[in-house]
Parts: sequence; structure tokens; C-alpha cells
Amino acid sequence: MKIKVKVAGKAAILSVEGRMDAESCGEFEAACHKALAGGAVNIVADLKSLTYISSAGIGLFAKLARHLKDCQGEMVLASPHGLVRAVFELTRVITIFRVFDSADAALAGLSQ
Amino acid sequence: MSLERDAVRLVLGVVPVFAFLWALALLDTYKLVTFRRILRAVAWGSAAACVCYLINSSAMRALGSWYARLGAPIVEEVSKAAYILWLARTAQVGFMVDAAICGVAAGAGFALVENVADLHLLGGTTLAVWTLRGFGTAMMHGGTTAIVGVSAANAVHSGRPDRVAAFAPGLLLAILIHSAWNTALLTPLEASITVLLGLPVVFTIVFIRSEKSLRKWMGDKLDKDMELLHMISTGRFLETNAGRYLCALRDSLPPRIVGDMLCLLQVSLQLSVRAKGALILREAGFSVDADPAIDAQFRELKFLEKSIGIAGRRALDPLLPLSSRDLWEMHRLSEGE
Repeated sequence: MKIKVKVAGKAAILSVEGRMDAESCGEFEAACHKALAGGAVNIVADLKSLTYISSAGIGLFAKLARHLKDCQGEMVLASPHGLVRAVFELTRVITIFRVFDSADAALAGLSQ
Repeated sequence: MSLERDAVRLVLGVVPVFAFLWALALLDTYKLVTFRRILRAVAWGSAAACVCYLINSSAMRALGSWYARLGAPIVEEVSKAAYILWLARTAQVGFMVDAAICGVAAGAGFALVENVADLHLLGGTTLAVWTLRGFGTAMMHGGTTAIVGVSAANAVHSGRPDRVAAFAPGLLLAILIHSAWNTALLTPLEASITVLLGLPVVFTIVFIRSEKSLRKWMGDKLDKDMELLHMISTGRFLETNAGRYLCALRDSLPPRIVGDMLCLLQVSLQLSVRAKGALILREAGFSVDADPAIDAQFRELKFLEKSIGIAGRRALDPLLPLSSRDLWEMHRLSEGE
């Protein structure tokens, strides 16, 4: 799994590529915490290139969403598709996120 | 003054066990047991204590003091265990964690009534002795019923046809501990200290192990369920071993039934994945609202089960073992608790 981080104002865009499973989701968690420690309040998870997510990844997203909410921030999802979107929808974990078609749309949504 | 003293004694004797119960509920990260269920268990325990008090009083008069050592523990443990067994049988508890919490709660309710009855029996004791004795009694009752709960949860998931035999050792152990408590092998103070030090350690270990296995089970199964469900919804089910197995059944079962078997598999997987998703959300601290669409899915599930009949169910078992654990998840999901 590859993670690219881009800072845009108070938000950090984390673009994830590849597979997020029990072994690799720790990298995503570390990247999120690093971005938050660097001053980001909100996180955009750009899932355009994410091809697989396991229960460990889903659990991590729920945990991070809670953490950000407690810190008066927000995590939003951009471009989840295919199996990844299906997993979020089937488990209903998608109900705790705002979902956007792209990272740019997510940034615009966060500033509103 | 006497009333005030009794009230203080009662609080000192019972409040710590409710604190222990609260601590156990905190360890329940998936929030398997609702506050309402805990209250119901406490109410059952209290009611059972009232009934046992009447039975024991009459029996003690007729049979003498040996009854307190041997008869009363059997009557009391069976009356508390009845509730836990009912919960396990109706799939309202599914894991060691929630079964143990309900057990401790039922035992705490029982001890509450027993301590009230004992207030006057132990009227002459000092406050310190009473506290240890009252707390010890409450822990003993909570602990023994929790043992029954853990063994009931194990029995339900053992898959053994003789589940009563799988559950019986737990009940027997509970009766033996209770009987030893009543026999006064140790002084009341020594017995109380043994129970107070021993049970929390044992239960913390049980809880941590149970949480670990629950987490592993949920993660592994959720991934498999999601994968199979995705293959069905993307039309690639026939590429899987499960799909090939279902195809092979077309030779021995009518096509309509095989079609309904696939539908049953899909609906069951959807319900199972939804239930596990709800547990993930609860663990993260989100509340999960009841979904009105779930009722319709359960109705469809029942229709499909009826449609494929016993032969179809048996043929589908290797693909979808509807264990009591799965049924329990679905039950919780339908309750929207």
C-alpha cells in the first residue's frame, strides 16, 4: 500500500493506493496521526486507487472518524469505488462519513 | 440509628459488586450487553432470591442444617442458572463476555436480596466484617453464575449434540464453590478474602481471552463473508468453490430450489455483514440506529428457508453454517439494540 499526503489549509489529503489489510492499515493510521500532529484538523481519505479493504481497515476508519470527531475535526471519503465502496456500504460504516466524488469536491465540502 | 446502620451495611455490602459489574461492562468493548439487559438480569436474580428464601426456609426447618451446605446451593445455583440458560438458548447471549456479565448481574441481584435478609442475622458483627462478608457473598453469587454463563456460552458453541453435558460441568463447579462457601471450611473472613482476591483475577483473564477470540473471529469471518458477497453481487460467484458446489446441486435438486438457495446465501451474508459492521461502529463509539429494512430481510430469509425445505437447508449447510453465533448476531440486528 502506498500513501501520498498533501496538505491543503487545515485539511490533509491522504491518497491511498493498493490494498489496505490487517498488516498495512497501521501505515495509514500512522500517516493520519502524523498529519494531525502537523496541524491538520480534517482528513480527506482519497480512496480512488484503493482496490481492497479488509475488516481491519474498516475498523480503523471507524476509529479515526471517532477520534477526529472528538477533536472537533472530520474525516471524509473521496472516490470510494468497487469492492471498497461495497464493503463500506454493506457494513453500513459509510453512514458515519460524508462521501464525495473527488478529493477536490471533498475539500470544497469541508470548507462549507 | 439501627436503620441507618443497616442502610450503611447494605450499601457497603452490595455497592462494590455493582462497581465490579460496571468494570466488566467497560471491558465489553463491543457493547454486547445493554443496560436494559443488565437490569433484567439483576431483577431475575432478586426474584430468584425471594423464591429461594421461601423454599430454603421451609426445607431448613424440615431437613436441618445439612440442607444449608448441600441443598441450598443446588436450589440457588439452578434458579440463577435458569435465566442464563434461557438467554443462551434464545440466542440472546453469544460470547463468554456477555454471558459472564449477565451472570454477574443475576448474582448481584440475588446477593442484594440475600444481604438484606442477612442484615439482622449478622447484626452483631462489626462494620468491617460485615463489609467483607456482604461483598464476599455478592462476589460469590456473581462469580458462580458467571461461571455458569461462560460454560453455557461454550456449550452453545461446542456444536456437540449433547449440549447439556457440555454445560453441566460449569453448573456443577458453581454448586461446589457455593457449597464450600456455605460449609465454612474457612472462617467467614478467610472465605470472603479468598473470593474477593480470586474471582476478579479469574474473570479479568477470561474477559481478556474472550475479547481477543471475539475480535479474531469477527475479523476473519467478516472478510470471508464480504468476499463471497462481493462475488455474488458482481456475478462472479460461479468462479468460486461455493458457486461450483451450488451448480453441482442442479442435478439433484429442482432449479427453483437451487435459485432460492443462492438467494438465501446472499441474504444471510448481507445480514451477517451488517451485524458485524454494527459491532465495529459500536466499538468505535458510534450509536447504531435500527434499520427498518432489516425486518423485510428477515421475512425474506424465513420465506427462502421454507421454500428450499429441509433437503435444501442440509445441502446449503456446508456453504453457510448458520451457527448459533450467526443467529445471535442476526437477532441483535433485528432488535436494533
